[in-house]
Amino acid sequence: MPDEDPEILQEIYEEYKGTASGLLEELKTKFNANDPFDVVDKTAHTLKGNALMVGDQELFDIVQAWRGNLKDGKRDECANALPAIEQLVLAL
Amino acid sequence: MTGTANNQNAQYKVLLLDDERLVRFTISSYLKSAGYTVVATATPDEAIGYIKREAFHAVISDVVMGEVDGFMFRDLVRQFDVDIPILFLTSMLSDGGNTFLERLMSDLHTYYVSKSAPRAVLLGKLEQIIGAHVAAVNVRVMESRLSKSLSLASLVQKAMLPTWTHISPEYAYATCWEPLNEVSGDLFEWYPVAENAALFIIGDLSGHGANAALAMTAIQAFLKQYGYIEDKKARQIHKIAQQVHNFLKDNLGDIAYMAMTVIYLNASERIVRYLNCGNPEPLCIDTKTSNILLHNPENRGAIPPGLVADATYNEEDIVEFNYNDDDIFIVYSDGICDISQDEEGTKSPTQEEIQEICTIASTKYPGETQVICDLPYRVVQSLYSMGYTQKQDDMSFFVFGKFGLPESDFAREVRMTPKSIDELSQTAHAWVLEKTGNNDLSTKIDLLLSEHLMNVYRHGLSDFGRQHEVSIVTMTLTQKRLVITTWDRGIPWKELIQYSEHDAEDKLNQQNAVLAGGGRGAPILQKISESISSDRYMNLNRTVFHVRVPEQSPENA
Repeated sequence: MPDEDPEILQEIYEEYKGTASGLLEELKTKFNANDPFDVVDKTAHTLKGNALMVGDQELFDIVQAWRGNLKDGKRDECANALPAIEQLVLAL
Repeated sequence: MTGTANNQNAQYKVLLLDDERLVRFTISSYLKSAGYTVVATATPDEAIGYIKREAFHAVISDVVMGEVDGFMFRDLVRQFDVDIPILFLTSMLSDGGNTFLERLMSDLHTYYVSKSAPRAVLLGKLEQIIGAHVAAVNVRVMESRLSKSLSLASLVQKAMLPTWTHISPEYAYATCWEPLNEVSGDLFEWYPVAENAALFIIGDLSGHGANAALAMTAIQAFLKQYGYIEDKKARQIHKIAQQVHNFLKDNLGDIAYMAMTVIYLNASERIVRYLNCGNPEPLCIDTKTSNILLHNPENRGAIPPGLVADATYNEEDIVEFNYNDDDIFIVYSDGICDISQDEEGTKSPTQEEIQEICTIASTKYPGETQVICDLPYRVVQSLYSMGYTQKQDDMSFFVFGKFGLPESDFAREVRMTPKSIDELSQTAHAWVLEKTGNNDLSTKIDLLLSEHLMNVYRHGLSDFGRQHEVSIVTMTLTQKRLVITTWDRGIPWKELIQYSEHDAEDKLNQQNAVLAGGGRGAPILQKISESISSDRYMNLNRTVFHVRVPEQSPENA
């Protein structure tokens, strides 16, 4: 949810950064542990939602696609896409 | 957001529910920057706790949460607040499809906004839904206040009317007065001008509702002067109509006119004079033959007072005739003609149907006793039974004539006060004793009437105006039975029995069971009477008690 107020925007962005790295670690752990689809997808959904909220379209798109592959059982594609997601989060 | 908007929003409190910390942080920041008071919480449980304890103007909620999602949370909220607006924040619009949207919109007070929408959109939406909610609440408060005012106005109106019935040896009248809503533009007045003479006025103000009721009150105040009118002047009903017309013209101008029937009755001379100004033509029925007596073949009458500025009312407009003991006279407002089988008012009874109902209701069949006091209620009830249930206007139905019982029977009108009920019971006691010589029977009748009427007084009538209510009591003695009939306008009999049984149990628990007038009601009535039957016509109860008359022993003969 983009904003015109720079002060609020900065606060939200800092909050987003901290949350996103935590969510990414959680996502990797659950995926690698082969947790049930619902469990993994919830984390991905949250990461995606946060990206949408702050207007990070790039991260939103890539996580949304990742969720689609997960739902279709394409675990190899999901595993291959994780480094790209990580790169985006680290670059925040 | 301007400072003014921030100040205005400070009075509004918003509950925010999202399990995501970032969302709570972001939305709270936006809302606070716009001046709202925000309570943010992460779980539905906690949120419901807040809903129970505090008042909010809106709820903002996520949809996808843990075990309890946004829709389940909404159902929980609705148990405590049926119309607080709920604004869902969602990123699921692209995922959810039509089903999701349908679920979102299945509640009238649910809204949604995408998480990707700009802050201004969120705040704009919130301002809109809170504004609509507050306006709806204010309307409900105003409606409640107005309803209370109308209820009070209705009570005042009823208190200003004469009693619904009156009986005397020479004539009786009864009326059924049914407002369309709480208040009515119909009126009736009764002025006894001499021992056996009376003036009746039945009026129908144009329009209905509060305006007509206010105009009616003004006219009633004006008409009260005729309570002191001499018999000679009361006969000049055309002059009375002229005075009413002048009052309407001078004081109410274009606000109202009034269809009106003015009637002078002299029971000693057996004459009726009436001037009909715009009401349906009155009916005169011979109750023995069921014939409608045509006393106005020339269609005399006049236009409603107040309708045309320069109207005049003349002696030649009056209808005068002599009547017999079996004749009754019926006047009704056009609300009776307009009652319909459908809401649109397109299926109303014909004039012939109304006349037929009146004729049947008033006909004296051999072996049956027909009295005037329930006739208006039976007629209106008959219309309802025929499917004419949709009132389109205020209704009033008025009848007068001889009461209908032989002079040998007992017929009394009783004010619904403990004192009057007690006096009536004693009078009934004396009457039964005189007729039967049986002291035990007369004591039972005294007790029966006292118990029954006191139950009606205590439990059947509302607190306001009960002292203005009257009931009718009649007694007919046959060889084996005493038939006691009462007419009251209390609550339905079955509800009354429940009250009186409750009261009876309380009394019996508090005191030892000693026969005394104490409102124990149903058990005593059933002990004294061989049978009890009740009918209800509109809001009028007719109760009939059959009491066995013991055979006289030779020493009592």
